[in-house]
Order: sequence, then structure tokens, then C-alpha cells
Amino acid sequence: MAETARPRRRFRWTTGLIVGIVMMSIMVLTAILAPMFLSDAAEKLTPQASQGPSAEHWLGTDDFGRDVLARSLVATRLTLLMTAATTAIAVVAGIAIGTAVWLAPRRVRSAVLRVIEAAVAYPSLIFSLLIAAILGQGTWSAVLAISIASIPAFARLTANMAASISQRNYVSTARLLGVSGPYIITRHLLPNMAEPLLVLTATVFATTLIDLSSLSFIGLGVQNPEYDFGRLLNEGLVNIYSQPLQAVMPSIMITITGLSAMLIGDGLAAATDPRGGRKFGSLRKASEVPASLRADTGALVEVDNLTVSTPSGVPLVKGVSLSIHAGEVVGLVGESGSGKSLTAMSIAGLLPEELGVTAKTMRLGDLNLLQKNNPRELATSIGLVYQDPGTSFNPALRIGSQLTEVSRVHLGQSRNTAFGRMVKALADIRITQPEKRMKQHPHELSGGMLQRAMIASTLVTDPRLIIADEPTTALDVTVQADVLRQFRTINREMGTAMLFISHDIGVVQALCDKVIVMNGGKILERLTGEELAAGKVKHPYTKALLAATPSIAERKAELVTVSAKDFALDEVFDDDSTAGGDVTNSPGTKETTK
Amino acid sequence: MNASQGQPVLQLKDVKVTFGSGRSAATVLKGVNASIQAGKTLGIVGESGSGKSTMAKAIVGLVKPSDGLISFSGRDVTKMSGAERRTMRREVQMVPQDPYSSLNPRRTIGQTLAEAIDPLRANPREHGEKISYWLSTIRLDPEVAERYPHEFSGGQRQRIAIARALAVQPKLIIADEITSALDLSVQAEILNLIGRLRKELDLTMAFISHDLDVVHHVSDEILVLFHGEVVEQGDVDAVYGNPQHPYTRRLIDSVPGGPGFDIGDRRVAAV
Repeated sequence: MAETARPRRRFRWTTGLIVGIVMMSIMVLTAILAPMFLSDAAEKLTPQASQGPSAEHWLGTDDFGRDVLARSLVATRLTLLMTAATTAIAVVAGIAIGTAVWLAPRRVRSAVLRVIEAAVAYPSLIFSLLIAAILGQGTWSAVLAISIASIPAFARLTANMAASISQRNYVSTARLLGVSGPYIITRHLLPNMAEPLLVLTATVFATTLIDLSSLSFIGLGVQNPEYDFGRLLNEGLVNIYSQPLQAVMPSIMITITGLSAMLIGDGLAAATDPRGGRKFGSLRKASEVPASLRADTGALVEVDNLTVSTPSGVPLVKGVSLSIHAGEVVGLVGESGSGKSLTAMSIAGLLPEELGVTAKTMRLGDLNLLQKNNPRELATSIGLVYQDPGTSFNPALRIGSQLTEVSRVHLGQSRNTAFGRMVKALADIRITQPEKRMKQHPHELSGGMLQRAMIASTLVTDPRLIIADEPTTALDVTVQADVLRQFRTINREMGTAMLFISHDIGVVQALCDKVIVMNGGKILERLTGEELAAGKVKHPYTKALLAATPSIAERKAELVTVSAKDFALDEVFDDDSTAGGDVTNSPGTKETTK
Repeated sequence: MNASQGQPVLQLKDVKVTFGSGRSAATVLKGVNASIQAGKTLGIVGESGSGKSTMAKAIVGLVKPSDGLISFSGRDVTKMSGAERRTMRREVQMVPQDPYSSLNPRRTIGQTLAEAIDPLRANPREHGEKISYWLSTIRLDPEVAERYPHEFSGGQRQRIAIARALAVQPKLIIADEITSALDLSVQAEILNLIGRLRKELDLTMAFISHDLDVVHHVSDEILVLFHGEVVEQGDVDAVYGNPQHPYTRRLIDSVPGGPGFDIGDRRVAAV
């Protein structure tokens, strides 16, 4: 099997991140250079006290004749140093405490976590004021106070992340391998929590800057003759009416530094989010698409030459044509990435907006599925059953209100009518105590019962088509048999047409009248359920799939290993006129997916 | 076949596992007996809530049984001291279900395997030869040792997870639903690999799965769990061919495509 060399996830540079880094670099450069060249102007006392802006002193001078601009620039060094030291102490101590908490016995851990959570909830500035008051005035007591106040945030994040990562399989496997606790932390836990910690660090840097400046501003932090932004603001406050510019410059510096740290934090968060950066394309509607060879105008559902492609134009479904007659169960079978779910979801009109959908025809009865339809008409014409009954119900709402939603919202039935009909529908599919079930919450019912309730709810609107997307995949095998039996009964007694999507050949051949085999976004073969069950298949891919399936019916010495990409994506035709084909699949256009 | 047929590699006697205490206590395993002979594969089937994963965890020592006896090659694990247990741990290895969360995304394949070979130092350069050997055993190019897990497909990751378990050279391997997250074609690839390894390395294995087709394919013996109790065990062909317990019967008849499968007649008017 060929190695898949997927490119590593690239780091995404956002504008905010670049701006933040540029601003921060300027601040760092200022912090390095300003004290070398401007310390005289910033610190030497001159007779030119309290002057307004002039060519010599752009922002004027303070009470002692020192240049305001120079003082602001020189103060950058002390401010940045203090902020960096505070952040470093908070990060190191926070991570150490966090991992220690995670390693501690359970009782100690939960007790310490409660304390940390209380500390996080308490405003850090008030917390640091308290500590600073205890430690006394001065630069380093301010640094210590604020770093202690910032530790809980890091400790909590580390402990929580350690708890979540330690649930992952590679950590429990490492334990089985005999790896000791400290190695588990350094090899497996810390590297996997680096990203969120980095983001938090940038954010804490910004808040620390403000907290430090606040402490200095109220006189608890940096003391004369030293000065940081906060101290300068404190000095400027006295002359706020006569010399307003004296307070402006430090404020701007605080804003710029804080903003750049925030931008870097946000940029890092965005860059590390793998879901970020999606581009939305426009939804394309029916266009001049060539018609298939054999359109089936008599069918209930007709899909002619359907393509679905990503916003960047990569085709996912490449010209699929199928028809479903009234009362027919059609199965779509294929492996992941074959396009079977996309095909079904485009019929249901439930594809994500950014995917482009085109087709010559896509209709259900006389309902054109290519245009925006009245949601009521769509909701009552098509019933949908999803894969996982555990996640398709809202855990906070009672079963009843969720099952009757379509009837109440789209059919305008009263709550009582809808409730009554739903109870009857549940009783029809032999769910015990239907009234009681309707008042229960989803977690009180088993997965099989939820799935059967879901199927019952699609029936009360009397849909013309039921689309079931892997409805039994999440279920146990005995429950799966129950659910399949139910689908069969509905089809036999009510004659509802169904489109049944599954990766399980056994399930499809048991339930479906017709089976469509898909691979790489194309239809490869159309069969009847009996043909598939009897192994009468023509396409090499379908043959290979059957040979790759272990079965209790016979023991195969060696399973055939199928690689979906090794097969030509041409549909095999037979002489049966019910098998539709399309122009794009005509012989000669051999292609393979990559 | 292995020569030492007498002593089973693994033996469980009346193993009970209870979670919680007092009124909220839930007994997940209610006195399970099982044994695996050297070189054999025991298939463990059961539906969700049957206790099959708990049984696996009890065997590897991630869950402590509240009662009963688990012994490896005749030595009782439940009565061992901490140090003995730690050396014992490496004799049983587990291949987890999900190939995506079982490999640390920040460590190369070489580092991952090196950790299995030597958990203390875990230096991939020191153990380069062994790493190449295990990678070739699972039919991957030795050069992939430099790469990170995200560069591999699900089937390849699962093979790497198998190599990691093999590299410890354990006496028993526990495969917990190792094909249920995989596509059909990839499942065939993994099952074939397991089949070859069983022959080449004379593996002793417990193969846990909810898929009766898959268990039938890989196992010598089978054990059916239902609500924490063993309802049936024995030779695979005997159990599948002539199930004694009604639950086993129901389970086998529920497999689509199997001989006893019946969901009612088709609609007559179907076109």
C-alpha cells in the first residue's frame, strides 16, 4: 500500500498576528534602544520645568524639566522586563502546580482544584493588591504579587488539560508499556497542551501589563526614582489639567503593548484552530448540465447528473444519476469518501452552504429539489433518520417535544393532536409505554429505542421518501436487526420509498430492493438486493468488497485487500434497462481518484 | 502450534468487577471464567454493556477486580506487590480501538516504538535496528520512523499501534475492537496482518469485538458475554454452528447475511 504523505498542517498567518508581532518588535526595540540614547533627556533635572510642547521637547517637560517623550520611551524597558518576569513566574509556577495537582491523590486533587477555582474567580487585581499590601511597596513585590495572582489560571488550565489528555489512549498505553509518571508528563502531556498554554501566556502578558501599571499608578508598585508606565501616569495625574500630554504618552504605550500582546494571543489561537480559515463558496444551482442517457421520468425521485464540489472546485460527487420508484428501497453502499452521504444529503437539501451542487434534474415527485423550497414542504415530504441516535436528540428536552416538532411547526397541529398521533405512532412500532416515553428525556431510553422513536417520528408526517444515513451503524447487532425489521415493515405496510445509506454490505443486501455501489464520487454498479446476496456482481470493485468482508457463513483463509483507488471508476452497464447510466461515464473517460 | 499446551497463558477464575459502592454500586462482571492457551486466539463477543471492555481492562490491570483470580502462566496477578505488577504489566499489551487517539501526535513513529522497547530512555537512535524490524513486521517501510502520526492513514496507524504492542514482546496481546473504526478494505488489511502475525510469531491473543463476522474470522475459541456473565464459550465452529444458549442463538441470527437472519418478507409490489 502506498504511503500517504499528507502535508503537515501549515501555520496560518493572520493579519492580526502579523500586526501584533510587528508592534511587539517595535516595543522590544524601543526597550533596548531608548535607555541607551535617551536616558539623559529622561532623567537629568533641568530648569525648563513644566513646559508645553516645543521643537526641543515634542511633548513638553515635567515638573523637574525632564522630557516627557523620552521618559515614556525609556520606561518601556522596565515595564516590559517586569511584565515578562511576571508572566514567566506565573507560567512556570502555574504549570508546575497544575501537574502536581494532577499527580496528587484524588482527595488532595479535588480539594486543591476547588481552591484554585475560587482564586481564578476572584478578580486578579484585587488579589494582587492584597498581596502587594502584605509584601510592601516596590518593584519586585509588585511583580511577585501579580504573578501569584496569575498562577491559578495556569494551574487550572494545566490540571484540566492533563486530566483530559490522560484519558487519551496513548497515555494509558504508555502506562501499560511501563513508562513512569514524570516521563508521561514530559513526553505525552506537556507537548500536547503547548498550544492553549501559549495562547493563555499571551493573554496573561497583556493583563499583567495593565495590572502592573495599575499598581504603580496607585503608588504600590515602582517607586521613585525608578519609573514605568504606571508611575509616569501617576506623575502625570497631578498635572492632568495644566499638562495633559504628560499622561497621554504612557497611556498610548500601555495601549500599544497590551494590544500587541492581545493580537498575538488571538492570532496564535486562530492559527492553532484546525477548523479556522474556511472559505465559503457560492452555491451554484442547476446549470447547463448534460442529461443522462436514460432519464426516468416515471420515478418518484429522479436525480440526473448530480455533482457536488468543494468551494475550491474539487469534485466530491462526479455525475451521479439515480431514480427511486414509489415503494422501493434503494441502498447506497460504499466506503468513507465514496460520496454516498453527500448524494443523499443533497437530495435532502442539507449540504453545507459552501459546497457547490449542480444537476440536470433533481426532483421528488413534482418538487424541484434544485431550488430553495418551502421548508414545510421539504420537511413533510422527506423523513430523515441519522446515524447516531445518541447525538441527534437534544439531551435537555423531553422526547415528546422533539418528536412532535415537525408536526407542530410545519403541519400546524396543536400540541395535543401532535402528541396523540405520536403516541399512536410509537405504539404502532411496538414501543412499550409510549405515553411515558414521550415524557422522558433522551438519556432514559436505550439507543435502539431512540432510533426506533426517530423512525416513528418521520412517519407521522407521512413522507414520500425516507432518507436513512447509516441508521444502524451505532447500534448493537441484535438492535440493528430490530431496526431493520422495522424499516422492512414500514416499507411493506405503508409503501414508503427509502434511500438507505450504509457501508455494510450485509445490511444493504438484506433490506434493499436495489443497491447502488459508489466509489470515489461515482456510481460503479447497480444491482438488485438478490443479485448482491447471491454474489452475482460484475464490477471488480464490488467483487473485491465482497471478498474483503469476513462472514460467519464461510471462513475465508485470506481476505482480499481492497484499495479503493486501484479501481477504474467506470460504471459497468448491463442490458437491464432499469440500470441508468450517464454520459460522463461513457467508456473512454477512464480516470482514477488520487 | 505451541508446545506448552498444559499451562494456559491467561486464566480468569470467578472474576468480579464492581464500580462504585453502596447503593450505587454496579457489578459489571459477575464471576467470569476464561482461559487462553499459548498460541491461541480467544474471541470475546458481546453487545454494549456486556462488560467486554471491562474484562480487557481487568486483564491488563487498568481495573482492579473486586473478587476472583487473574493469573498469567500460573502466577496470580491480583495478589502481586507493586514492583512485581509493574514487570508483569509488560507481559500483556493492549491494542486500543481508535487509531487516531492511540498515537501521541507530537512524537514520531520511531519515538513511539522506542518507548515500547525501552520505556526509560526511549531513544529512537539506540533502538534503530529493532524499530526497523518491527516496522517491517507490520509491512511498513523502516524510513517511516522519522514521521509523525498525522501523516498516516487509519489503517497504517492501526498497524503502528500493533507494532508498538508487539515491540514489548508480550506473552498476551489484547485487541479491543481494533477494526471497528476502520473501513471495510482497511479492516481486511488489518485482519490479514493479524492472521499472518498469529502464524509467524505464534501470538496468544484475546480479540474483543462486537462484530461476529470478524470474531469468527480470527478466533480459535469464542466467549460470549451477556450482562457481565459468560453465557457460552468453546470452539468457534462449534459455537457458531450449534449455539447452546438462546442469547448466542439470537446474536448469531441477527448478523445480516447470516443463515438465520430474517427481517420479514419483502414488499410484494416492489418494482
